[in-house]
Amino acid sequence: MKTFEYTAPDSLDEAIALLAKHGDKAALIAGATDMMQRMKIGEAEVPDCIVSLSKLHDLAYINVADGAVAIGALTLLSDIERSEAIQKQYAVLAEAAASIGSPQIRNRGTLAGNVCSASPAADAAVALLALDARVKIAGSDGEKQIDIGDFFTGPRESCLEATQIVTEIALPAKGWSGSSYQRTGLRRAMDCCVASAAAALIVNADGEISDARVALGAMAPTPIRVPAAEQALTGQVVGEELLAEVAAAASAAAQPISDIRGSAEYRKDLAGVLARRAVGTAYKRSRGS
Amino acid sequence: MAKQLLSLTVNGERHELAVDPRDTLLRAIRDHLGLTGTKEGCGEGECGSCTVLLDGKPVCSCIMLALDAQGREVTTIEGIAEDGKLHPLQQAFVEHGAIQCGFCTPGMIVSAKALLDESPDPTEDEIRAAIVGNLCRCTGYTHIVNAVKAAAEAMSGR
Amino acid sequence: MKELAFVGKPVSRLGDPEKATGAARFGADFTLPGMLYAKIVRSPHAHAKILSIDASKALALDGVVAVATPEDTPQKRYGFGLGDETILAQEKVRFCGEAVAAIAATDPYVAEEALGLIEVQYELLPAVFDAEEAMKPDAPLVHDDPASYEEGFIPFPVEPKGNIATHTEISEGDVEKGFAESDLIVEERYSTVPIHQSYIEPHACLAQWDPDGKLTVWTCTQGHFVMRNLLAKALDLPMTSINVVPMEIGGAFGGKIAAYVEPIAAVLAMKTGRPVQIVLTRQEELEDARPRCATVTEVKTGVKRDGTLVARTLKFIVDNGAYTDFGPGTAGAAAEAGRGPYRIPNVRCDGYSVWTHKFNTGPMRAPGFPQITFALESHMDVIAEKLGMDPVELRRKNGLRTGETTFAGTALQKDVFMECLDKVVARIAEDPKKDAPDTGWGIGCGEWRVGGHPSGATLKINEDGTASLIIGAPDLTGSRTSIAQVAADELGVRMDQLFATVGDTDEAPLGPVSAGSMATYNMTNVVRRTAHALRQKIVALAAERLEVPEEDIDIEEGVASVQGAPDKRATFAELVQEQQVAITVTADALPPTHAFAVHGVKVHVDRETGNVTVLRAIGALDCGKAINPLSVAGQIGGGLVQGLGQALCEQVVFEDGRVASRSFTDYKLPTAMDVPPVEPIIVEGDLSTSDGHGCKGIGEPVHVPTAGAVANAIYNAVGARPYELPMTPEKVHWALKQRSDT
Repeated sequence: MKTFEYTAPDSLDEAIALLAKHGDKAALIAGATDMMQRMKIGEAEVPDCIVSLSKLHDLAYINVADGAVAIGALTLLSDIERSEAIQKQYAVLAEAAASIGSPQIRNRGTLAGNVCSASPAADAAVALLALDARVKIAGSDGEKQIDIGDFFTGPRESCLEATQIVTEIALPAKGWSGSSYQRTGLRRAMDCCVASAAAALIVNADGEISDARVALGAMAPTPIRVPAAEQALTGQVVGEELLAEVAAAASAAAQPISDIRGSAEYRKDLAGVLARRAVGTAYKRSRGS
Repeated sequence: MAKQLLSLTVNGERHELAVDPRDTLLRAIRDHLGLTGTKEGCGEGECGSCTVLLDGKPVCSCIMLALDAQGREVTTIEGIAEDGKLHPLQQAFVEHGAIQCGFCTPGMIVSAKALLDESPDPTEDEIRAAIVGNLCRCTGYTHIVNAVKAAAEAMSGR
Repeated sequence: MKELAFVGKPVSRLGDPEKATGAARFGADFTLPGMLYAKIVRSPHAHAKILSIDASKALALDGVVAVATPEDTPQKRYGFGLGDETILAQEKVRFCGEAVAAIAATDPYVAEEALGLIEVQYELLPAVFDAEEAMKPDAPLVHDDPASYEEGFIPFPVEPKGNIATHTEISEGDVEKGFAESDLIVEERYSTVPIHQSYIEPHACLAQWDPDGKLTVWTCTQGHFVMRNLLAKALDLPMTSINVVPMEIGGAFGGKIAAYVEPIAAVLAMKTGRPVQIVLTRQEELEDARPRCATVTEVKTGVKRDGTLVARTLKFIVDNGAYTDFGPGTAGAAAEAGRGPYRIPNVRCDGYSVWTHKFNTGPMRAPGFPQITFALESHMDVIAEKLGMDPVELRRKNGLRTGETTFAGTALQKDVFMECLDKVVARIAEDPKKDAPDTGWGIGCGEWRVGGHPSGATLKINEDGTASLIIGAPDLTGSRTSIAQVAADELGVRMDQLFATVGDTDEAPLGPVSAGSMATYNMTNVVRRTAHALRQKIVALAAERLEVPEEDIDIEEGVASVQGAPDKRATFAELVQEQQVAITVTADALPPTHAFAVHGVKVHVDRETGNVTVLRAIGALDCGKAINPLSVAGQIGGGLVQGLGQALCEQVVFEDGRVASRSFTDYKLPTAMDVPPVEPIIVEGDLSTSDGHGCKGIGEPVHVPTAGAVANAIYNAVGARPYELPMTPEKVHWALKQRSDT
């Protein structure tokens, strides 16, 4: 690994100033579990300057208020996994976080780290897409908030500029009745998924879906939603036929590649299976079972 | 690039080290402090043989920059035994055939200790989930799980 | 006979407390002053002539002390079956990743940086990557003139034909007549991919060359005597100039026998006059180590309607990679075992080891047998189904019985194969949930031949009466403890009064490689004899001192006493005051012995994704005598789980002329969440001829039949049968689709 300068700023402002100074010669790390591995194997370029966010403890929080949750960028995946509030209201996110790596990885990896990796298979990113998450970004020209759907621009590419930092992921108070994360891989843990699906539903007392989100991971250059499935679900009560429709829509929307983990054909089949399971489980949870 | 100063506490002792910014926490522990109990099995955070406790939580030290441990508390396998006596986990590993080649053992014990510190009476599934990031190639995990259960019992006085 | 105090008991293993505290020293845990760090320059091409190597830029880098190229080596060839390897690639490279040069620097970062500064010019040559393609007459040759190579360390008769390094032919009876007499003939093809031993400790060694001409190499090795032998050949040095010190070894499974890292460290140590350390990265382990070879099994079996196996032809092809190593032994032994543990009067089995332009392969835990047994045990279930017969009954009908001879040449004294099978079947029958949907149990049966090896042991009584045992077989699997148990019982001391060390090649008597399950089998034999001889010396000394006949002497816990007069005694310490009491005993290689193993595995298959969950795993082992039952159970557990890995998730993916798998990210070992607790069943009673209480080898048979059991379980669960390992979810998915399409 070529050498670099290491700084750990004491404040967010200091971090922003460092990025403004170094531009694309600097790279941010939080838990660095993804970044370190990629630098070591030569998949990520070693920057001239590493800016470590390790001292910004103020950016680790899970604030629940009025049904909404604000998650600081440096919140550990293990804290998200264990948060009772997230488990209850946003099960899909807790499940996704719990499925990443191992306890060791989750004790260093952060939610923002998973999102900023912008991998199309990033588990938390897929779950957040199904939750209408909003990403707060800070830079030298101030702060802004964007929909997570606008954050990802390609495989391991996001709209985040070299001078910007993700500071928070906000989950709006939608009142999801039930959600679920489904993934499959080559083994039960420590596994970049072969395919994944996330679903979140708002279901009224009669079992009718008033709002639905269905997202897929490892099926496209970025995590994607399946509008056709979401439309098919809205206003409906879930039954076998509807689930089959959801599956068909998900398979149709999936445009996966073949890689060392699986073929495109297999993934397309899995998209339908996992979307159906995610919606089915989310619905069961909405109905109190 | 010039070396940078790292202050951290390892197994209860404070240290000041001059490290290369590229040094991982694993390298700092092994090469600078001579604590070779923590191992490098893959260097990529996939096998867990480099597991140490960082402020009490298990992490892979091979993918953590040493400088990111500035001011933190690290516990390695060398810090698990108490007053020169084997920790109940270590004793249980020895008694239950949980050690074959011994290379995964330090990381495995550190992960198991973190589990028992938080969950004194874990189920089999919880034990397996806690050590899922620690690969063992020799034992097939059966005796390791038995040892952790036995240690939990011994520690709770059951 | 007096009950044994330690043999047969689950004694805690020597060295375990050190391993539990992190104090045990492995290859990379040890440094010397002035030590240099080495990195290996590797070929990016699969087959190419090396035109030139320019190290000038690397040498100019501050901190680089030396670069070794082939001119720095004696350029001699060495190897296992055939002497076809060199320390660094000579004149041409034969696989992507082959070592071409090596750098020694004062700092590991500098060594890594220097890798990019060595300029090697290549002329590309056509390459072949598939073993069956490589067998064709017009395939590009991996070795142009293999007939000119000398024999290797364990010479294997090599008569190369093109890229076919060896062809072993086993022929008995009359297969054509047998097929003619058969009511049903089943012909199938199975294949397996390379898998890696994946010892968690990567190769680590340290070499030091003293000015007086002595090379010391500290290394993680399964066989330091083999290492010394290979180093002597590679470096063209007499063995007295080389001392190999075995460190604690973090797993091996056959992958730490060949010498391919140590010679490079030695060359750099000799060139620089400083100690040189090499530690491989996990990626280097996947690209240039000695993984298990890929295989193809084409099997045709003729059977009678009542299930009697009549005839079999079998073709077993081993994709050996670029250099021979243990390929011929793998192909040959598997061909010899082409019947499986069954009675088949007419067989013709052909085993081929074939060179290709890929990474070397080497022995991995029962080489050849897990691969061929996957094929043969799947095949048995297919035959059973076609006959409308219970697969267990088919095995009972044809399985070897008391009095019959195994392929190893041993005669069964007890019905241990049936006992293993019966016990596994009985356990399965107790399962109340065995008929749950998409769930199935499968059985796999296997065997292994354990070889003999000359060995020796030195046992001495120290001045304080304790006993020191020095052996030359590295302690891989607890063998040192089992050996100590035997010695303690035979000598008449407690385990805490005896200490067993593995000595280096200068100090220890020759020992077998801790491989092939040979360590416990051969060493308990010679150690028991050694302890017995030493005990007789003690008895004689005691008899003289106490003035009684030798028959009246009892020995217990390090004290010799007179029967009926317990206050007439002499401690070992007292007895050795006048005279050193020490003995070295050597033993010839024991004849081969043989062990059966039967595995029962229960799986659930997710019909939609193809994911296989292993719910239960039972491993029965015929071990002769379990010296340390806890150790035996541990081996069964570890071997079976490795078998699950082979069956379901492990593969070294090779694409476009190179290894595509990235470290442990892509190379998937089973984690603790992927496997159930393993249920061991120890079957004793079919004793070997070893003086070590008739124990047999353990480490390998426990790994042989798992993949077959899993394949059969998957079929019983959902009716789909993959013919290729690993049976990943995607493969099971397609097998299910294929079945539903037909």
